[in-house]
Amino acid sequence: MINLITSIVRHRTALVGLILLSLVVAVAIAAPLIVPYPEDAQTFHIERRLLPPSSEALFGTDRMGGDIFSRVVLGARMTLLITATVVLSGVLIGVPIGLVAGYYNNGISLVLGGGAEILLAVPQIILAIAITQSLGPSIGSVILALSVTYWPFWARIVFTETRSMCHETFVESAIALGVSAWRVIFLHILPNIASSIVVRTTTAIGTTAFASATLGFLGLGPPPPSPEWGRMIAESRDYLPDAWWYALAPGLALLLTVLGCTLFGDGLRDILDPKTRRRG
Amino acid sequence: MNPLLEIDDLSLTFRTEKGPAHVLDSIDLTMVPGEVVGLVGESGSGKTSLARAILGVLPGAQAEIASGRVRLDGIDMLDDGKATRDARGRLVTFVPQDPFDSFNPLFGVGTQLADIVRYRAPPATGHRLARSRRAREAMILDMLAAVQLPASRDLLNRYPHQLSGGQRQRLMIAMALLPQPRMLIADEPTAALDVTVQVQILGLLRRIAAERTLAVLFTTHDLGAAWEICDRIIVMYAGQIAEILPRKAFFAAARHPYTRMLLASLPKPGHQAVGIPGESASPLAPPPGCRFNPRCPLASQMCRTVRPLPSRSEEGHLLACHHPLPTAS
Amino acid sequence: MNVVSMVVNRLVWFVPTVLGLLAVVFVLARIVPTDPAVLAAGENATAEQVQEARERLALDRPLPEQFVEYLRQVVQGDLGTSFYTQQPIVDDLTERLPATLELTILGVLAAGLIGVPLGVISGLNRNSWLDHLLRLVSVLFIGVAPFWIAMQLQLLFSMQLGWLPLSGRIDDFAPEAMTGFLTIDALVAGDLQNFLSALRHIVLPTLTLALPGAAVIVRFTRTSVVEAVNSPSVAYQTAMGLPRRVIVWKYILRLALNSTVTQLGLVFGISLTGAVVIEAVFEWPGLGTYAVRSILHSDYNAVMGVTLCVGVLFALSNLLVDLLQMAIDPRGAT
Ligand SMILES: Nc1ncnc2c1ncn2[C@@H]1O[C@H](COP(=O)(O)OP(=O)(O)OP(=O)(O)O)[C@@H](O)[C@H]1O
Ligand code: SF4
Ligand SMILES: [Mg+2]
Repeated sequence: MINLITSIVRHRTALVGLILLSLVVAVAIAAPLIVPYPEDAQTFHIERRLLPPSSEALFGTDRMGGDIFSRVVLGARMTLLITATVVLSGVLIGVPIGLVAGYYNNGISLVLGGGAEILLAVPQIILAIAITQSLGPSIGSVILALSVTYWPFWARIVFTETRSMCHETFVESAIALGVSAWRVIFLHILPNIASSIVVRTTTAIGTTAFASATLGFLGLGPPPPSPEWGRMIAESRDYLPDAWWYALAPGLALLLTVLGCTLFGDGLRDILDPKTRRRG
Repeated sequence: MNPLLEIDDLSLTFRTEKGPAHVLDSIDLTMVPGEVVGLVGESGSGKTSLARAILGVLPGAQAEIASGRVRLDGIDMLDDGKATRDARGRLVTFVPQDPFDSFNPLFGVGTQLADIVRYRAPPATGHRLARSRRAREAMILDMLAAVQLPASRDLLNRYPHQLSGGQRQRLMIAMALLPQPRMLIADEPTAALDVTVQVQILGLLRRIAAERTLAVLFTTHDLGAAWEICDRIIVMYAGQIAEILPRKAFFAAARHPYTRMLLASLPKPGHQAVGIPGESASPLAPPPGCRFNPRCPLASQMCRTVRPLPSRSEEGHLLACHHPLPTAS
Repeated sequence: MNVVSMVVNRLVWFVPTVLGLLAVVFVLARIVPTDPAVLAAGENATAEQVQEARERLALDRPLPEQFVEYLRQVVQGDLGTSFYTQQPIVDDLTERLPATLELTILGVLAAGLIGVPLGVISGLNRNSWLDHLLRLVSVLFIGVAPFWIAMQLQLLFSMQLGWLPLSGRIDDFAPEAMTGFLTIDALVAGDLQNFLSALRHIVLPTLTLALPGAAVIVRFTRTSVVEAVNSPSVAYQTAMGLPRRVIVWKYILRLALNSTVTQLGLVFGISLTGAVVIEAVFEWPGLGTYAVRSILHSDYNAVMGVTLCVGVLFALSNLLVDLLQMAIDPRGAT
């Protein structure tokens, strides 16, 4: 653990990614305390609508007169909540399914693996749009839609890695010695594929933030006036080209989040994957 | 005879994350044309690094020549100039350890041989112009016969994965001979092959060296293999030369404790091979004095402080040890 | 594995996957709060008309039965009728498929044309300032949302500079359809004006799709080049003194391209996913807008049809990439 931390600190890419990511999380948590207009998440100020950036409103104001900067920062909470829940359930659903499907070679693994492949057969976003539409626009349906459609990514990678692990001598001999399946899976296989799961999860945070913003952009996210980034970007379209600043802050916020995840994920892969490390 | 290869006092350091690794320590070595020399030592003793130094292909970012020089036919191989670049792959060529990985998997072997001829073979006598495709192919087919492969186009049209390990290594030897070099460096050329093929390939190397007065530096773990085909054998330990022996003296006249332990560890009929106790010295923190001292039963205070200088004990026999053992028998 | 067994293997997997996919979408479509019979009957339908539509569409029968019935029709090439367009869905799809294909194919091509050379440059000059810059830019483009890029491009090139059209596929009527790719059709018809118009319309959407794809390709190509540079065969050729230019432009490039091709499927996936959203921004009359609109209008037959179509596209693109890989990698051919 200490080792990992020092490697991260030494690895420039990983460090920058981690800092960005922590920044987004910290801002999200502290949002109501640090923004200039915390009430702008819900209230209107028609007299201040569509003002360009100024010292009062750093990134301008929106069609309701809300301070875009405040709204974007407050929106980080929503993105964080959605992303964290989706990623967590993705791991909780996908990893066990991948393990079982990879370890066994029978009907169950066929059904589980097949299920994952079915969901991967079209772009995730199409299924997610369909689910949110069925459930109606809300945070809950976004979370549910993304959780249901994104777990196969974990299942697939865990499946492949588990399959190849099963051919390793130490796993084969454990099985031959009659060690129970659960012990083999959790004590021998899982620790060895943990680093791939971690890397996959890091990049998935970015992908999920993307997907939830996409749903918001299509009008399927949390309903207005919630300060959801994708929705804010979509709203701005009616006010272009005059309100050029409108989409700037939410777009940048999304960019920083995904950037942090990509960089941190890249760095972690370098650090954790001995193959790339040997290559130097 | 004039020496072909002269290595003087070569010390090589690799910069690593954990600090400098002193991989070669004051190596002296000369070779004359046509001589076959075996370089024997444990894994990590620096055989490949020495071979790469002679070829002038040390990794520039990490490698640092702490001292010494390497001259091949008078050309400084540690230099980066045109003469050195011309010499590499012409004057001195290379047979790698793993003939599978050393081929590009996506090109037919014929293409890869042809490129060696095209860019490395000396111009045909009496011609200043590049060879035609035909002439290149003829040259390659001749060479296939010389390395005892069927001289057929069919073989050349194949991809590396469609050939056997022995065939691939013969092709590697063919590639090494096509430039008509004066020296050939073979870095564990038979490590990836099974025993019968090993014997054939070694025989081939020996014969070719004799026919073409080709100097061969042959690195190996395998004392037996070295003894089969070499005129002289260099025993290396942790980047230092421990002992250099002429072939005939190898078993009888070895006096360095490390060489003797290596000989004793050879598998005998009916016995398991025994390793040498203790761990090989780390180049990151090599023991001062004789690098073998932590594992040597004869080590004295002097061994732990003063490096034993190589001295000539008999004709062609060089020994670096403060307390050499008496010759066996 | 030879070509035939690979294709057969793919097909064997494709059928159950698509069946599963259709079942998933079928169930999804049925949990929609709106009653499809009401939609089918039209806005001002009486209760009897709704009931009549329900029976006509067999919506009163049990779900499994409906599903089997649906499959029976699909096998006969009938995907049903769209509630929204009142057209057979097969017609809707054939009308829209070329638009999406034109866009994604161009997007993938552009991504490759931008990404491969930059990735090679980056990989060959590892750790140079150029490499760092290219890595930074590519990681940035992976991080920006395609719909956001789309809007920024529109803002700059259409609204402010006025160089390119804001949305749509063409100014005038489309040229006579042959391939359905407007640029090609116009060119074939010798209609320069329409060709230029189609071209000007497709630039921004293509660019939007190509940029993230190119970023992925740059990163991947770079890794492959670095891997190739450090490969044992290159070490061998260097030790044999082959000229660097031959090693780089013949051997390293070939190795790198080989592994880059494996990523084309991924890039196509990214582009197709991007297209779903991008099409909405550019009002591009393709499958993406159709899918989104059908979902939003609970046009469930259309949703099933478009899902099937995209699933087939996905599978086909993976198959093509596999075939391409086999064709260029001698090791795959035996
Ligand atoms: N590029 C490098 N950077 C840092 N250290 C290196 C590098 N190449 C080799 N070394 C180190 O140099 C030492 C000698 O390595 P070398 O490959 O020359 O040994 P060897 O005798 O050929 O071993 P083997 O029998 O395993 O091939 C080893 O400790 C190795 O770790
Ligand atoms: S010099 Fe000393 S330590 Fe080294 S081999 Fe000889 S006796 Fe052993
Ligand atoms: Mg070696």
